Amino acid sequence: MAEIEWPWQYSFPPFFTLQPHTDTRAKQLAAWKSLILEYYRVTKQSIVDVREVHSSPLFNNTAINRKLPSEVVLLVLEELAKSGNATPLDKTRQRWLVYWHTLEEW
Amino acid sequence: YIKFSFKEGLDSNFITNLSDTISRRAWEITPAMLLNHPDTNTKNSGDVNKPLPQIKTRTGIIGIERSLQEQQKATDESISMAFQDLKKLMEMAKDMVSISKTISAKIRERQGDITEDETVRFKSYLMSLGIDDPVTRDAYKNSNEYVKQLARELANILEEPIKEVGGMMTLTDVYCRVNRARGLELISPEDLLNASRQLASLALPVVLRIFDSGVMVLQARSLEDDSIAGVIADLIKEKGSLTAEELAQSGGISVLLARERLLVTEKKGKACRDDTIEALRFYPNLFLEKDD
Repeated sequence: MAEIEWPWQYSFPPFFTLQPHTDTRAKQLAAWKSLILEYYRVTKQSIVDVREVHSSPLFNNTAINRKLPSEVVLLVLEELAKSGNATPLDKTRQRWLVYWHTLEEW
Repeated sequence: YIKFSFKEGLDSNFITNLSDTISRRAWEITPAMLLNHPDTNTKNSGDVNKPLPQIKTRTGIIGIERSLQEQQKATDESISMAFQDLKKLMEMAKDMVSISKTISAKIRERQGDITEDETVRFKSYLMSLGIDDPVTRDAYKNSNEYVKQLARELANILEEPIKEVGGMMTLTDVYCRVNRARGLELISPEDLLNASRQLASLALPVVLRIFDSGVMVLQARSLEDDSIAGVIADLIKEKGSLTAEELAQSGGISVLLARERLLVTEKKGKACRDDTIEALRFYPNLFLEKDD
């Protein structure tokens, strides 16, 4: 599995708490979006299961002992869906397909 | 004739007391005195073969029971007296309430000439009665004269202490301070709140502030959110990260206020949070700063 170069946010504890401040949250979500895309591109995966996110190092940084809560994962995925980088695979929105590039770009 | 014998010698007081009592024929005037005298005397002289016949009423269990009964009767009476008085008082108050209601109805008819002397006086009547009726009152005058005076007083008393604690004091702290200083004629929480609400409109150096969390504080008018946020942000940077407890300790302020300050800083975008089971920590807002 290819190693990903983690962005600075990844070792910044507040990155794993949804920020209440509007501007801050926008920045945070944007960072998460690009991190997810990057991670899935490098590791060549395409399916996210919200129930299993915490087994992946992406959402669970053991080094600083922080996990991104499942609700927030879902939020980020929905943000990704808005920009066309992800689609839910089932109605319960537990499994998501992540596109490294949007369908239009292909 | 009566014969006295003493176990521990004759107490000279006893004779004088006795002759005093006899000469005044006290048993005919007040039985209470008679009850007292033998009591003190028997103590001094031990076995006395009962100097006065009236003592009988006190002797034995019956005597004690009787006096207890009398006491009970007396308290009963005073209690029922008190309640009767209270009832009358309440009836009077009822009248006042109904009168004041008709007055407020009259005022309603003559709508909104604000700060008329009449309504001011009416308000102070209501206050002295303890009927609070702000819903109908608020339309006529924004608050009572008394409350305004209280607000001025508050500003006077609190300006210095508030500065001492860093420009902010929770309303509960204020309440403690003011009432402890007063000792008598304490103010009610509601009075304090009403007075605090007036602070802003009176251009006093202290103002009421309600945080998003509902916590109410009095703060110095000169205190600005931006400057607080700046100071706190610097502090966070210096320490790496901060919890409300840590800030409270290092800043010498209460945890409640420390928390509010951190939240203000966050609101200004100068901090961000890390919420875990350990604690709610605040970090410098690198999200916004790194990109700049």
